[in-house]
Amino acid sequence: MLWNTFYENREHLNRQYIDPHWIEDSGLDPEALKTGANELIRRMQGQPKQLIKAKVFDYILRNGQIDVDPADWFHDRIRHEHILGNLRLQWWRHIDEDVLADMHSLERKAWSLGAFFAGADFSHTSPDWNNLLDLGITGLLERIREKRDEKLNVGTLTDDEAVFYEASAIVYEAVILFINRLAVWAEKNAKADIAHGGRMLLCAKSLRNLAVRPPATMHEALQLGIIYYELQEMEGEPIRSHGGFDRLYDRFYEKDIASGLFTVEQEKELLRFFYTKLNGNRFSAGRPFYLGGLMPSGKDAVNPLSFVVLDTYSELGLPYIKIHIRVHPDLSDKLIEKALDCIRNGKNSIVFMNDETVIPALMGTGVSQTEAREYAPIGCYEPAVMGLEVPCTFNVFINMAKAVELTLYDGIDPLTGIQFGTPGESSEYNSFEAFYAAFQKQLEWMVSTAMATTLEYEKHYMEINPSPLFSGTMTDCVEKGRDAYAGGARYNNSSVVFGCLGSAVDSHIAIRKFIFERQEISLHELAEVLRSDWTGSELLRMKIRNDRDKWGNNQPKADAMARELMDFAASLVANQPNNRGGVFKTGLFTIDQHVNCGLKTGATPDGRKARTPLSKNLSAVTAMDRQGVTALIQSASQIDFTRFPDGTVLDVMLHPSAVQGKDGLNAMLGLVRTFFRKGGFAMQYNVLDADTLRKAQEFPEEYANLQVRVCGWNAYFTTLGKPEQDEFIHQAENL
Amino acid sequence: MNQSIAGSIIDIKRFSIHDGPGIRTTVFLKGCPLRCIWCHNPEGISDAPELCYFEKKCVNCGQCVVVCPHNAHRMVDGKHVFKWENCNACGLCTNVCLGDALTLYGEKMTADEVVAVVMEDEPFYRETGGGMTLSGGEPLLQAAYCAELLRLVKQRGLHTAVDTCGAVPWAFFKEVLPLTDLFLYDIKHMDTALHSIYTGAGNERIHDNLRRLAKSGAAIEIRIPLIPGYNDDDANIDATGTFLSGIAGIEKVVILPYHSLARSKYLALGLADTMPHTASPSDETLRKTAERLRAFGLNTASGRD
Repeated sequence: MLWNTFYENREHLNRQYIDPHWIEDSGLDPEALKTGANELIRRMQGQPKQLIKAKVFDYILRNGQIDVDPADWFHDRIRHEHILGNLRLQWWRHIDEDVLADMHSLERKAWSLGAFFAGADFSHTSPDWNNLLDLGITGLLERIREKRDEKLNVGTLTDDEAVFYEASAIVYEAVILFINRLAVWAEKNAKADIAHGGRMLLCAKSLRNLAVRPPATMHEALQLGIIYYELQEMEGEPIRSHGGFDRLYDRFYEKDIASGLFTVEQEKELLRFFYTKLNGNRFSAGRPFYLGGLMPSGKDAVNPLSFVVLDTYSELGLPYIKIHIRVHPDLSDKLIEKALDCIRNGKNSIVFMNDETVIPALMGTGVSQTEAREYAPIGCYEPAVMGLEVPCTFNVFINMAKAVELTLYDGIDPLTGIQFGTPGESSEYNSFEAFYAAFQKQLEWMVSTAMATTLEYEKHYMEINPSPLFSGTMTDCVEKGRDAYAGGARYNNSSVVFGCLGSAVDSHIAIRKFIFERQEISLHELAEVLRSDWTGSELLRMKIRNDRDKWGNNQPKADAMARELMDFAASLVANQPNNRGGVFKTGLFTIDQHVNCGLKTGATPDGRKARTPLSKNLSAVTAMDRQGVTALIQSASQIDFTRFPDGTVLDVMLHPSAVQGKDGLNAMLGLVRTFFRKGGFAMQYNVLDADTLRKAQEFPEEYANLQVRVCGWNAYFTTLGKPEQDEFIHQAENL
Repeated sequence: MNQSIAGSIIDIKRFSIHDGPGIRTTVFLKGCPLRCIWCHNPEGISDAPELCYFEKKCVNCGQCVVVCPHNAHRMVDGKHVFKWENCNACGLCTNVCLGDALTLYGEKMTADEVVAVVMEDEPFYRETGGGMTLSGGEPLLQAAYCAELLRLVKQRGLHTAVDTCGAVPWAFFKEVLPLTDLFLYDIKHMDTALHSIYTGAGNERIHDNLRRLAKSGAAIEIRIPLIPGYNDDDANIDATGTFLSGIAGIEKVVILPYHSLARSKYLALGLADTMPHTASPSDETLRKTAERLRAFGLNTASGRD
């Protein structure tokens, strides 16, 4: 059968990536492929890494085994054996161990203490999907050749530029060759297999078309998309956004429907296959794309495909498909409500982004308004201008609670006794202001040390990860003849992300109130109490925990402290130049590091015990948000999010009873709209009750499908570690 | 009008979404004329202040013993023991309790103080057409105070609702009538003898007030708490349908499921537990009951839909 075969093939599609099948006749066996590649690499030693990478890329696509699955609508499989990935690892290790050894070991030490990590970031990218779909592989190749010839003719072509164009041309020629190889095998399969009603012939036709021209139908456009995923990630840069799926693909969708090529139901069938394949690829942090948002013209981008995509997502409930809904005042409530309905039914791999804050935040980094309106949330919620920006959204992560700890102990980590950070004179802090000034100094040292690490690594990006395929999609790279990791994009930015805000704020508030205002205990005594993990001081610990001045409760003092702290943090980073011709952007989120950093952080002044989780993203410390979700939103709104162009998110956890019925849906919508009207940046939901989670922990096999939103991505609850599971249960108990 | 008029408050609950339109804050007032055996807010029954002690949360820190002027709190063998008979609900202990185990119900708050808390969530009301709901207990027992709260909120252009059992003099309704955008009105049982057994009072005044309220043009949403084995039989549902369909102007009827989550509160208040040992009605039962009432031309919904 040609159509309506998705559900019978679903399990089979999932296995494509777990238990892959290869056509053995189609290419070299893996050992021979690796041997040949190694030989090629050896022969090319001393040549520019761009060229080595391009030639190896070509070698793999020319010689590697492929697969064309007769049950599938899309074909992309190449048995690449991680040759390029391993080559990059080798290049990266050389920089770590030989070139930047001292810096690398300091950074390793910082992370072993849970203080910060810093370095290179090649895993947050989005290619220019507009160019890919408009020009196709052939158009991109033609553009590369034209630009090279232009420069050659006027005599301005430099050696570096010549290498860039040569490498990119090799890579794009290889992609065409690969597409034709897939087409050949699709044609062979078509003869052998008539069970799928001519599907292989349709696939072969689409592939043949893509080898000579840009995509013209939805099937061709999706087919190109899936090939591009496979190949850019083989090159070495995970794709962390598929851009605005509705604005990119609607032209194909509507044309197919209008011309009668496919029906709406048939288009949905293609999307089912497409998303299941992306999901099956199982990139652990998910496969993001966005819907809605403002067009460069300032108009709303929603179109018929927006709804079709959400319907398909709702039907399939795939955990690794991540949808960003770009919200603005003119975005229809209907689209948001559809997304909210998915969320309350357990399909909650969805983040809402606020165009009204994100766009000004990006403009603050030097991007024009028209450009900023084409932002794609990269990875979790880190916006970057698609096609124009290489954002590196996770270069540096700073645990702010560790800065409090190092201030208390004059730069000696209490759990390990290791000297780290700047020395201090805690015995001389006679006022909260003195303590806070010392904290600022400690934080400043952490940030500048971490940034210095990234700045050094940036000098070596081209020795680690040249990206001829990725760069070839970007207009500025091709115009300049310069790789995306050599500063070829229009915006080449870096990032510093701050985490554990709630723990840091509550600790400061506790120190101000209990040490300096009420003088219940001296700073020195507090440090000793914390070192003993509150032994014998349980009353004090409870007194501090019970105090109402806590972040996330709409309490003026805590909210003001958070604002002050984050304004200071942002001032250390914002728009500092990097080494790629761009700037540093500030972010405020923890991903899942609040648990990991918590394990490495001793007891903190907010009443937290040693080695327990720190606060997540913008959340209150767990169980400390006593005033509920509206108060949490009011607190979060106190921070000026336009200063955080690298992204931030508010997690909202609701009990299932709070989202029931039409009232529940309206309330969820009201929370999103109100937070965004008050300047919120991004928001995501978990709808959970503690009983269900406890049962799932006890009987995992019965709850295998229970999804939770970890932090910008979803996971099956039963696959989380015990500490992460316990943390979710703890949070849900307080609803 | 005296702006500092004070009332007796149980609790102020933010992000309340099932007590009227939009996102709301519900203010629970103390004191109720009824004694429903299934009451899920037993802290609202008495009009006097009461101390509530959640033994499970107690960490035996002994802080309450130090501050209590009446010897209501004692430590026996390192364990906290609470003597209700000694407590006069002064509330001093609640300020020092480290386990969050002691709560005072019936704190006196001025209307201005309450409205200040309510207005913290103003942006959410503006976005969703929400506002403030007065509930309890029976809020209208403090009718003048209710009127003041409603006036203060209404003059800010926000939606107001009153959740009432109806068992109060009509004069109390008159005080709040022009200030209330929506009445949430409970109907529990049509047989006045059974009503009296289950709630401590007959239903005549409740029904009478409902007719007058409807006639006055107020917006009314009927709420029926469905208590399996008590008021969920077809005969009672049909009688309810007949009664309500004879009253013009009822906008909506909502069937609310009984649940026994409040049982621990009886213990914590030192009250006899009167709650029926019966399960919460299923989604299907709620829908069927709603369906049955729809046959009477009533716009009825399950409280879970």
